[in-house]
Amino acid sequence: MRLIETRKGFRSARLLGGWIASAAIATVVWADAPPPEKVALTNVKIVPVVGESIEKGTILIERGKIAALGKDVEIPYDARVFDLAGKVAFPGTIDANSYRGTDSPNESRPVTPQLDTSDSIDPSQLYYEDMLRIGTTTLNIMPGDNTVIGGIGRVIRPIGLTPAEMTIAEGAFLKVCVSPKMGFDRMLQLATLRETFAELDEYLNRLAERRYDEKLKEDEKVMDVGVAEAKKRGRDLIRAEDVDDEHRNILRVRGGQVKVLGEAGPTLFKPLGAFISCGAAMDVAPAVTFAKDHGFIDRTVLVLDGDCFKAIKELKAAARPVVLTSNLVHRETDPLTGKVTQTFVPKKFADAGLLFALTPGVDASLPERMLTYQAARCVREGVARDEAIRSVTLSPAKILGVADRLGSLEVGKEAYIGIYSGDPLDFASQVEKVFVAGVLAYEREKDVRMQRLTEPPAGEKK
Amino acid sequence: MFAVRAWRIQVFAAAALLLSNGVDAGSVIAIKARLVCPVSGPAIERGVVLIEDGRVTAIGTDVAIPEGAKVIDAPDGVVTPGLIDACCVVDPEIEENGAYFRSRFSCPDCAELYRRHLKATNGGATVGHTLSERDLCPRCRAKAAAEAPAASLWREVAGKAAAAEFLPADGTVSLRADEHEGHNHGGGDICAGICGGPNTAKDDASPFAAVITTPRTTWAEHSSEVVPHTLVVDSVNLLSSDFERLLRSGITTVYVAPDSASVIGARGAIVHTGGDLAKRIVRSADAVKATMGSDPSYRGRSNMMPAGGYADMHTRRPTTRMGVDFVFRKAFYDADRWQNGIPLHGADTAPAAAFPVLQKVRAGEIPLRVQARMQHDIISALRLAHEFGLKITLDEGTEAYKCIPELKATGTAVIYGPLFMAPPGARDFVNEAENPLLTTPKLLSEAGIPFAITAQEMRDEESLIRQAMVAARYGLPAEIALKSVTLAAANLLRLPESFGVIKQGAEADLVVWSGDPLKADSRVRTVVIGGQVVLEN
Repeated sequence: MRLIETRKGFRSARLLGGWIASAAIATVVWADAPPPEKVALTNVKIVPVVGESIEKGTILIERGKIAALGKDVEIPYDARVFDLAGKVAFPGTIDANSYRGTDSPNESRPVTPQLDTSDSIDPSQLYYEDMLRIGTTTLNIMPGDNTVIGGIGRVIRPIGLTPAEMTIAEGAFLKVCVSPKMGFDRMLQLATLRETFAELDEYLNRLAERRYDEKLKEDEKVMDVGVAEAKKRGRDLIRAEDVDDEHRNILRVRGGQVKVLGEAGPTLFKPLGAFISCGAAMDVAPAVTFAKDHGFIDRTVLVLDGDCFKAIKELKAAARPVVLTSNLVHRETDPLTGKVTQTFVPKKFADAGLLFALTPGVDASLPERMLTYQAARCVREGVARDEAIRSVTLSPAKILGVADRLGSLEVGKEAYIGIYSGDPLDFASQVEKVFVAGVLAYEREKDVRMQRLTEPPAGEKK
Repeated sequence: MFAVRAWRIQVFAAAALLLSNGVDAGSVIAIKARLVCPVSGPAIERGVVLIEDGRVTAIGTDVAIPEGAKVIDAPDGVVTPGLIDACCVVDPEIEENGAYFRSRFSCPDCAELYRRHLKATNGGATVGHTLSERDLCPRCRAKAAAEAPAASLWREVAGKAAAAEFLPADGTVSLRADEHEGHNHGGGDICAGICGGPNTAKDDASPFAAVITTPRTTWAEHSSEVVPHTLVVDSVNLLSSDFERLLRSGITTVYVAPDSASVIGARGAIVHTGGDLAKRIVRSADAVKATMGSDPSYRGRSNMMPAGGYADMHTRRPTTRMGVDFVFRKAFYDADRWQNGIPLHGADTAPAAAFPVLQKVRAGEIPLRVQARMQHDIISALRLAHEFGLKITLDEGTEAYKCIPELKATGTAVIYGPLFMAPPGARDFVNEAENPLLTTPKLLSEAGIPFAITAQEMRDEESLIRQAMVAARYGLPAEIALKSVTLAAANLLRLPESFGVIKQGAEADLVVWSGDPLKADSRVRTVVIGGQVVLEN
């Protein structure tokens, strides 16, 4: 029996059918038939994020992409039609910074730029199923905060049996932490960070010198210039395969080019951005300075926690997008008076006009786990509704560089769509269906684990 | 029925304070809103609530607003009764603790986390659970990393105790350090339960564990397992900022629950979260709270600390569920013996002052509440209640969904909550009840079991109204959800009819919300307690 509804690209999943029983994706709805090329969602209220809402509209999905959207959409005869009267279609929400769903968020060593979360992603974790259940269809899985340089992340969808199948976009960001990892203080943290970047130059010089020496040998020449000149001449001789993983990712953050002795060389690698984690306002300035000094400020995203909003002036000047941690409210006790003050953090960033993305809570608080709830809290505290909605859809898509594919319901974008029973920001609304790249990945009425949380097990029913 | 005799309004001669608060008790307030939810009846569109002299004097659509009245106009707003948490755990915020925590943590959230950790572990004496640096916010983590490895309050106090010269209670064994220097045990050797095992007395302060009033971070009186003669009201700091936090979430009245650390704990108090200081205490001595399950036994076990120590005559407390139930039974049997003049004996004998209170509990004059999370603890509670002819109210009741017929048959009401994704016991570090069911409030409601929802120590996004919001998401009709945090809670607290509703003659404890209170994007705009506006934002 074929258990899995696959797209062509998911063919390998079919071969691994035996896994499925034990895999976490139990709630993913797999039909017998191969996936329809065309899917039409009709009679649905469309909240496209970009543009006005459409009552009783139709979304036509072809080969995983939104082919047409609006009030008067002609439905092809061969489309699989879902009549969604009374429901609301909303883009799948995007978590711009998650360390979950992995084997372990951090390596014990402080500097590990060679790591890729792709090696750590565990598709069988319940986490992915949970994300589908709450309408989150895109996750940027990054290394955790207990690090100096943590490795690169990856943008994935919560379905698939291998990280490769889950991948939406290869990692475009290296995790850098300015606030100290466990056992470190800020001096050691920043010193380690600087050292790592400084060591890259030494490393490249050594490579250059070696390559130059080899070339001399090939040409059967003897050393004709001094060491410094040899390093300079050798820089163009460095080949991509010479650079080990650890140095390659640092090099990519610096722009991907071999830059020796202050001169630009050929671009060897694709440039990489950085997610710089700041736990407190005092971390913001060092983070920005560091990114500027090493030439990657234009590819930097700041991940801000705690009282970072206090550095709003620096942040405005840097004009970089920010990802806010789930602590949307900062509480602080005045050490002298004991008076507690509360600040609603996203409002500060909305007022400053910065591009920001929200992230869901990870602890046991039920509502905060939902990005749509986090957005509703913003509305509650006076952030414009449109902006609050963008902060869980289009803004994270922009930050992750996938806004051309995700983050809103527009013709040409990929069909990552949550179908809600009502207003997505209303906590009483349920996620009824989720389409991931046009594949029906979740149906509430077939969600076995949800039933376990809401219905007494058969043996306990009385 | 429970006597209303316990109902008292404490009136302090605090007129000066009253004036200094700038309160005009005779003021008239008119609230106009899109919707008025009286809870006891259908909601009124474009309603007006008139408040005079601390009472609601009129409610309806065509209420004449007297001249000079303060008008609160909320054209999009919704008015509900002030929320009532029937089992609130309030941060005692004792000054001494405040300084202790502030010196270690700059943010209140980490301080709170640490306080809860200390509470659960008898001040850090338990080895089972350590607070990971990972749990702290980055700033506090950095601060903690910079300091010496987090000292436990217990160890600090124990260190002081060990350094001091201590005279033993029974006068037979000296605890003076010099007499125990080099004193080593053979395997399994017990040294009169004093020196705590193979270590010397100097290294091991376990005998002091029971002497040390553990972290004054809890509402638990540690002098005995049975302390119904103690009153939580004596510990309530009415100026604790925790009350402000409750107020901001629209909560106007709370039952301040005793800690779950004692088998038979103190008597809770019912207080207002704001308003006139003189009128804050609604009822100073309310229900006695007993606890089934591992909260008391977990803390009992922690008395074996430090590692290598064991339960002895100084530290004996129940360490299992059997022990917990035994202490409960013994207390009530002893109360009978005490009344009949039969001498009492045995370890775990409660202080004499506890017995008159227990007798009143048996007579139904003082209500008894029993916290139980797991199914077998709930059944134990019902069994004990049956044995002694007690009428109990169940607190927390995480697995109440498994005992619906039993609860129904015994007519037991449930103060349920909080709704929590992880095992609710995780909040107390005991990891009890691994299968919470999100639809429990709905099932209780459908079964016709009287219930209220509580948030206990949860705040902000998990506060009382958010608990009701979650319950509503999982099947509890919205109007019942609202009722379960207002009128139903008032009823289970046996408050007068004027609480938890908006009607003529009701207490003027009201909340004006920016929209539907159960909507995620609504917030508290105005809170009125006793006819005074106590919060505006």
